[in-house]
Amino acid sequence: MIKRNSLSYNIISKGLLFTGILLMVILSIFYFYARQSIEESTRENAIMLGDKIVAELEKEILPIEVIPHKLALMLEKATFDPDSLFSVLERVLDKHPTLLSMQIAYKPYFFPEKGESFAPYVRREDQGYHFRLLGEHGYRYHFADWYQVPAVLEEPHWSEPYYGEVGQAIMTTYSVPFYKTIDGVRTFAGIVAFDMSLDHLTAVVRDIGVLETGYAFILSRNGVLLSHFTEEYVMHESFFSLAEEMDFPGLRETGRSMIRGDAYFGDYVLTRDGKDLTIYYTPLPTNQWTIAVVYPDDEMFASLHQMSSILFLLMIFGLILLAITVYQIVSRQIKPLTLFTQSAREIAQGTFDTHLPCITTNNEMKELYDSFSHMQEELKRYIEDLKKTTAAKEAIESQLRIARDIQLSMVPRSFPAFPDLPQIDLYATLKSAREVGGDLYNFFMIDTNHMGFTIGDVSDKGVPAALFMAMTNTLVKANALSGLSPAEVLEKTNYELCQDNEACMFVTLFFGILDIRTGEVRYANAGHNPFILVVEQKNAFYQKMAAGMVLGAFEESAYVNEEMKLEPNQTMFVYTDGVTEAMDKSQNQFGEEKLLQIICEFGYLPTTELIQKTMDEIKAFVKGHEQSDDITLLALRFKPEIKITSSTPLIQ
Amino acid sequence: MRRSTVILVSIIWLALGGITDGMTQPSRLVYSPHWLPQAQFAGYYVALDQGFYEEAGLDVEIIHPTASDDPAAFLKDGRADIISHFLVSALIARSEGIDLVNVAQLSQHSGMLFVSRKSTEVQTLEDFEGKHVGVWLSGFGEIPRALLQEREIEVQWVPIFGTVNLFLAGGIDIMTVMWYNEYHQLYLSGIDHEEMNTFFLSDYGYNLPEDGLYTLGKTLESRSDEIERFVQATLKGWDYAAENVDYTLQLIVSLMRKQHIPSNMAHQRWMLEKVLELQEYESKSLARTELSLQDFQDTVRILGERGMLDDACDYTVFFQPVHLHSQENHQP
Repeated sequence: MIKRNSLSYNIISKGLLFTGILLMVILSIFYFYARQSIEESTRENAIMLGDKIVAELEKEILPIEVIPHKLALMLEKATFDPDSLFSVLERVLDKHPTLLSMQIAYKPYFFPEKGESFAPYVRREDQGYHFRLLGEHGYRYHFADWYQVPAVLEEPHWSEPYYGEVGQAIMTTYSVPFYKTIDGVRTFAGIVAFDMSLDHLTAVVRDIGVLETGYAFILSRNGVLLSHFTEEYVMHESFFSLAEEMDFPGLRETGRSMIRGDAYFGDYVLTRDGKDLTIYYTPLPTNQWTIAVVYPDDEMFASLHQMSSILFLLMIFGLILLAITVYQIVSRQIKPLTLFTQSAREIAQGTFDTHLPCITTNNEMKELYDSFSHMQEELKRYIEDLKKTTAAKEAIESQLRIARDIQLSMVPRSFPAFPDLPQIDLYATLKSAREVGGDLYNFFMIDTNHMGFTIGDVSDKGVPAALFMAMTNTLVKANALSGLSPAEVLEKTNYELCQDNEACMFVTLFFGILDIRTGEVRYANAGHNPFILVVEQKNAFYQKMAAGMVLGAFEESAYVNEEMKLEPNQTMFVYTDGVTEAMDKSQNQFGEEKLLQIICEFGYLPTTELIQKTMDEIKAFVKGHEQSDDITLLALRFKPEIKITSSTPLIQ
Repeated sequence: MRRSTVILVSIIWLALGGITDGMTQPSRLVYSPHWLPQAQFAGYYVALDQGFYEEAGLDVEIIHPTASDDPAAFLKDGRADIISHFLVSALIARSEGIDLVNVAQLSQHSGMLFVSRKSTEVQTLEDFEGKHVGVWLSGFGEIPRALLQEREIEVQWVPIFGTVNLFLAGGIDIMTVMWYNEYHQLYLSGIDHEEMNTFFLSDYGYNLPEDGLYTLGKTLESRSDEIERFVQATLKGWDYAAENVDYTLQLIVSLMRKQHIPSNMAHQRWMLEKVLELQEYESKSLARTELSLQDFQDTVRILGERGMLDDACDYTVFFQPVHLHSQENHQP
């Protein structure tokens, strides 16, 4: 079974569709031209047949048409005894057996002695002839069509066919006016006419075979059917009565065209048992009848339809054969693809040395094989490399994790910071950007009344920065414990850091000492950001202070001691630049403004919550963007419980 | 004993008399329409075919005149007992001495018109001047003649047997036709309605009734009951024809074909429809089969003025309707 979305299905369906359309187009073109050719030959046949019928009818009519003309001429030129005319007519009928009867009808009172009517009439009978004068028994022939129409028109006239009295045959009368010269004036004298039965003529047409079920018919000048295979139409129905009864105006138009004397070949407005018909009609010049030949289209095109059906079947058979062949070829050609798919799946599952299909041809499949093979090799090598790299990375990461633990262990993380000293509300946090950060903070009691606290930011990150930070932390704490002022602590620490600082690392650092009795703070700054002082709720500001050189840069750097006093419940908020430079995805910085706003708004909260709130705001601001720098915050609030005197020394 | 025998014989005689009365042979009546068989006379053929005459105790035979016969002569020489005829023709026949009596006026309107081809110069009645106008040889031409006489339009009248061929061949410019017959024959010979000018006589003040039933005065006198039954059965026939058009047409077409008269449903359908329209009587505030006094007087006057009527008769003498039961219930 071919899958609908498979390559074979696509190739076969599209190929077959195209071939099928192409063949159909060819078949249609063939059909069109063959049909045209058959139509043309049918037209020729129809015209030939029509002309043949016309010729056959005229062959019957023309020789007898001359008879009354001759007689008319004779009557005009010679003088006859009126009573001798019967024998004249008898002789004519003797010579022309197709004539049924003949009459010489004089105009009223032509022979005054004969009265109004004088019309010798001779009719052929089974044995001999019947003679009579037409005017007898009240028959006023002067008003009959056969007399009146040619008499009025003064021209020969074929009457509209009628039922004759004898045997009720369908008859027609051909009448020719004749003249006499009376007193030098050629005057109309009467009509010579013969009657003939149409049975023979109509039978000729009725019995003509047109293909299997085609037919021919005759239409009179008035559109009446004179010969038709439907016997009951004959003499009763005209094209116009049929059109009216069938409520079919198209038929009426055809009838009008016929009685106008048109000749036409083409589609017939009528169908037979729902099948189309083709008609040819042409006038019979003698008496203005119409001869029509009707061809059933299905018979006309029977051979074409048969041939087209065979061709169509052959086409279908050919398409099926083509489909099978193409399917086999395509299947054979793309079989390696299926095998490659299997191999690819196995490789994807990790079996890199899976067996590739064997390609013997030197075509695109071979190229695919080479590519696959190369890919297999490359993958194997890559995976090997990856394994090694991953192992190395894991080792490094493991060491970094240890280093971080060490680093974090170097900053105090136990809160409350001084459980025995309620006047110190201090909380700090450090969040590294990488595994091991370069920020630091620290706080410790120098003596009973003084607490040292520091915050700093090493110029780099990672293990070296952590080591530098550890060193700085240790030095600051050691120097502070030795009782030095903040500036001295920084100077000493700087000097020591500058020794053997081959990596040229440096650190910004803020160091302060709080007198826990008075709230006075002495501090020195080595290039660190200014801190925020929360004076009261909704009142905080960045405290201006001396900039100071960063530690570790120059041995000779000097620092300045500065002082301030924390009033009860006032808070110092120190931080590293990781806070203000925290960035969102669009590289917008958190900024000092926003930090001050937050501190200002939430400065009344306990330090733990204040810092947590600040961290939350930063987190909300960066919206998951990766942290690029360490973030360190330290908040110190002075909450004295005892009366502090101004005489108490700041540092003992 | 003798007395009782007489009574017994009398009873038997009465009983037999009763039986023979019931077995009386139906009265024979010969009817002739004034033209060949066609839907114009549908009511008579239907009444015969449906046995309405038989139910009325009549043995009716229908005979037909030829194209050159005068139907009034059928009454005169006793070939027919009752005929259909044109009012005008009947009045003329009466003035010529045949004692025609109208017993039922069926057609109440004129179905007569002149036709000319639009392609000719004859477009108005005035254009008739000097032209050849076809008219039936067998009669019915009095009213058209009267109309043109009244208008002082001189034409060449060309009597013809009754076909439309002379007109079709161009031998005459104008033809007098019946709306229900020859007009449609022209149409069925391929001339479209739009190609013909029509001049309805009714549009020129000559809306005179046409077909009626006539018998001789003496026949009416002696056989009034039979005539009455004939008229009633005929009206029943017309009603049946109006309600059963297809049956009627088939009946007529088969009758015509038996007599070898060219016929088709299309033409007979048209004719039946138009003849029924002409029988409409309510617009003239008449009873069915009533001859309007006004129409009678108009016709007599027109014929008299044109010198076509020698001797005018009295309306009540001419029109002697047979008593019709519940005639108002019938609708044509």
